[in-house]
Amino acid sequence: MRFLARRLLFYAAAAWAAVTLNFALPRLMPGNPAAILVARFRGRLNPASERALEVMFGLHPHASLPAQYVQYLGEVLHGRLGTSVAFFPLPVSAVIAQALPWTLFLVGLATVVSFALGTALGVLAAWRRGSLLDAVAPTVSTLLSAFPYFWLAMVLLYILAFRMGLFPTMHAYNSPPTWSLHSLLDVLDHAALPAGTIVISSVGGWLLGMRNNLIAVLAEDYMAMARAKGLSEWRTVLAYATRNAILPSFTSFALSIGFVVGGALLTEVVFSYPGLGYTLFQAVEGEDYPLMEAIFLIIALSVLLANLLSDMLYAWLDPRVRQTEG
Amino acid sequence: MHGLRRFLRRLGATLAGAALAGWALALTAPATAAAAALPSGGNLLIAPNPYGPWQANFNPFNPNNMFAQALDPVYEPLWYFDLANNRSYPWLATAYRWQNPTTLVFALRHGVTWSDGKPFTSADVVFTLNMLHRYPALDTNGLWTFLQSVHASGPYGVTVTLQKPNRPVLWYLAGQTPIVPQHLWVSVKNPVLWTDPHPVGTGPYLLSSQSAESIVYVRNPHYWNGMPAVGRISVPAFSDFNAENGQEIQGKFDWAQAFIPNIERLYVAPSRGTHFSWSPPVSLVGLYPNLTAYPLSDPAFRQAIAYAVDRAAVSRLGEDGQEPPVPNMTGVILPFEQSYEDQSLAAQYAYAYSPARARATLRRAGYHAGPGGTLTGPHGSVHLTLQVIGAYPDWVQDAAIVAQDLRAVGIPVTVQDVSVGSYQQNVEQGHFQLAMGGTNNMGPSPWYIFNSVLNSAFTAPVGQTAISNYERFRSAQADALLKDYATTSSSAKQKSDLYGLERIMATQLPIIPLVYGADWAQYQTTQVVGWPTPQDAYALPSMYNWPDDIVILMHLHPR
Repeated sequence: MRFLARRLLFYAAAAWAAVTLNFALPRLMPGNPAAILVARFRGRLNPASERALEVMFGLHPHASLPAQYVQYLGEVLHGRLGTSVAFFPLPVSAVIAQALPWTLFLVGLATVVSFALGTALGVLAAWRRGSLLDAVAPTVSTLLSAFPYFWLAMVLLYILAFRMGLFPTMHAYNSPPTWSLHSLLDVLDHAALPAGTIVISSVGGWLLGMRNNLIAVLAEDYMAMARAKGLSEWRTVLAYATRNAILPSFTSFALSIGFVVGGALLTEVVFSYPGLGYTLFQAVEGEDYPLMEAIFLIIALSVLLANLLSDMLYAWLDPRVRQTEG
Repeated sequence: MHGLRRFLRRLGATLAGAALAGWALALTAPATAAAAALPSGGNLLIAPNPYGPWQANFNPFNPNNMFAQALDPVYEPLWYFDLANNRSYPWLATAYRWQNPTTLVFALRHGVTWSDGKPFTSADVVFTLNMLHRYPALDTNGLWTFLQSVHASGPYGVTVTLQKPNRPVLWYLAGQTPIVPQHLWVSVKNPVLWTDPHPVGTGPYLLSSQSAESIVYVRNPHYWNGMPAVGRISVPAFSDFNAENGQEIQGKFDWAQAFIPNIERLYVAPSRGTHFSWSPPVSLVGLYPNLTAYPLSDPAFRQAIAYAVDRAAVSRLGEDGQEPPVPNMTGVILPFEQSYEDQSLAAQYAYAYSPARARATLRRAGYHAGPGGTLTGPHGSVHLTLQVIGAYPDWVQDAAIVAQDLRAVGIPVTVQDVSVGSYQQNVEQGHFQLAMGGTNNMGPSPWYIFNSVLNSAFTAPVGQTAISNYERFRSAQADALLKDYATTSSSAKQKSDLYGLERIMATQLPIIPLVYGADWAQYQTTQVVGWPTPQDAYALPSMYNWPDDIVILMHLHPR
């Protein structure tokens, strides 16, 4: 219990720090959102409109900085995230609500698949050291990770979607999704290539990590003891060795899950897939402080939450951790 | 061991089988759905700028509305100004008359209905204009700096009173203001924050559906100018121009506005006569010199810059030859504004590329080259910075060519790539020496660009915000000419004012135009025909010009 309480306190403090930094950083950036909007429309907006836009955006707050900070804290606690500037006059929550589900779906799915696949292959590669799989898998997957993601995605898009027509070339769906089977298959069809490219370029990291951990664990004394006692190969590797070896990977996995809400900007750009990554990019481009703050806040809090959960999970899986902390 | 291998093999086979089956199903399903939904009258597929997923905002006065990001086939203005041909046509108004220099009277069209069936009357026009007065944040054209009052005279008459005589306001008021229905907007609590999710307009198309990925319009069967021939318009959303251009080259879009390098070879030539690219000049792109900074305050120095830069190279290498170089420094957009150009000025101030002449001009003005590429002038040594928005690759390339050419005549220049926000702030505040930028799009005559660039009302001292006259040009003569054009009713007088302004542009070089900004447009005739062409330029070709897009839509019909 004390363990839990101490962790919670730590995370509360970290959350407060994240919220405060989140408030301070955008205000240190130069520029004026109204001016950027005028520049963005390269000549189509009347120069006089910039004044009108500044009025619209409420760009000249009369409150002092500390007063703004207190107001900001209050609004965050109430879930009122403000009005977007880049997507004026939509509220920030509406902009995020349109993009967040797609990000959770695509990047969440890709991260989980990548972790599962990478870990499974890593286990196999470590278990069958010296086999063909062990020779090929780490090298190939690291090579794929080393390619710039953007390039890899565009090449696969060009070959598999444009030329061969095997996958849709862009977007998340053909018609707005419903809960019918047809619609779900459509969504999966559109997600296949974007998620696939993320998996291809990130599986190498999980694979190598798991393989190396498992090799170290397999050399431990208690593994020899288990084999001597007559346990089957399969059971010793999966139930004993992997369970110990996977613990470090879980921490990384938890952090990755936390960052899922940051979206995958490059994926969203290449495949014109709706998601928070591109929304964040547009917010930064348009100096949309309310939207930026809201997205950064979501990322920070979800990483903290994921970290907290992974701490709990780690403590549950590994009794040694509970004992040292308590 | 054997058990594991067998298990893995079976698992792999099952998974692969399931994936294939699911994928095959998904491949077939959406295609049939799309085919079934296509109505008669054809479908127009449009490729807008990659602004990312659509957000539901159809308020025509908001800067981010869906109309500004794609096209507006729903709302209409009072009058259509055909910028390509120097003519104008009645639209929602059938006639207008200057009763006296400060009173403008419109006669409205009878028989126009809103898309919800209610009749269009003067009450709607008056309401729209007064709403802009009540909510200045919506008045993006700044109408109420000139308007005094607006009222209806009968159900089809509108009288507009100005504070002072001003002719150019007609373009903004009648040509660039969407008229919205009073019966819908009067009950909106705050139109500044309203997203107008179900737009009701007088235009030829109605909003049919909207999602993050696609906006669909269907034709309005009760449109006052006859039912449009094309039944449906689809506007998908894009986040990246690469994928979009890839599809465009394959011929997926009927109407697009991309910048495709090597467009002749990639898009036009392989199409065997069905793909067209026409991106005519509509603005000026070039250098803004900060006239308060030495040595850019010296007109001779600016002239040297004009001679030093090879504009043809900027056009060919920086803009892929798709934005022609300006032939002279009068600032007139050719060919559309040809009739306003002072031919003798154009011939005299062509500033043909000549590094020798540039060097001679510098020497005569007292600038001497020193060791190591330095330059010293009457008030000290010269070193210029050229700011350019790093996110616009064509302008970055242009800036590199400019810097190279200036160094070749002995002017040391450093190019600075800055972000959009920093650039905009710097030019507005005057914290720059040379800036690579563009003017607004043209209006019905060269006055509109001249006004934004030369009018001292739009500038400010360094450290304060200049609206559009970033170079800080102040000239009583220019202000007088601009004002005279705006207040006179004689077209001969207006022409002589324009000639005077062109002379100022050409001799004093307040800005140094290099190439024309293009109105990007590509279209194909495989499904839909009736597009404007250079030979039949009945409207500006890009979907982003309003209400030209409506004019084009009404000319289109399925093949």
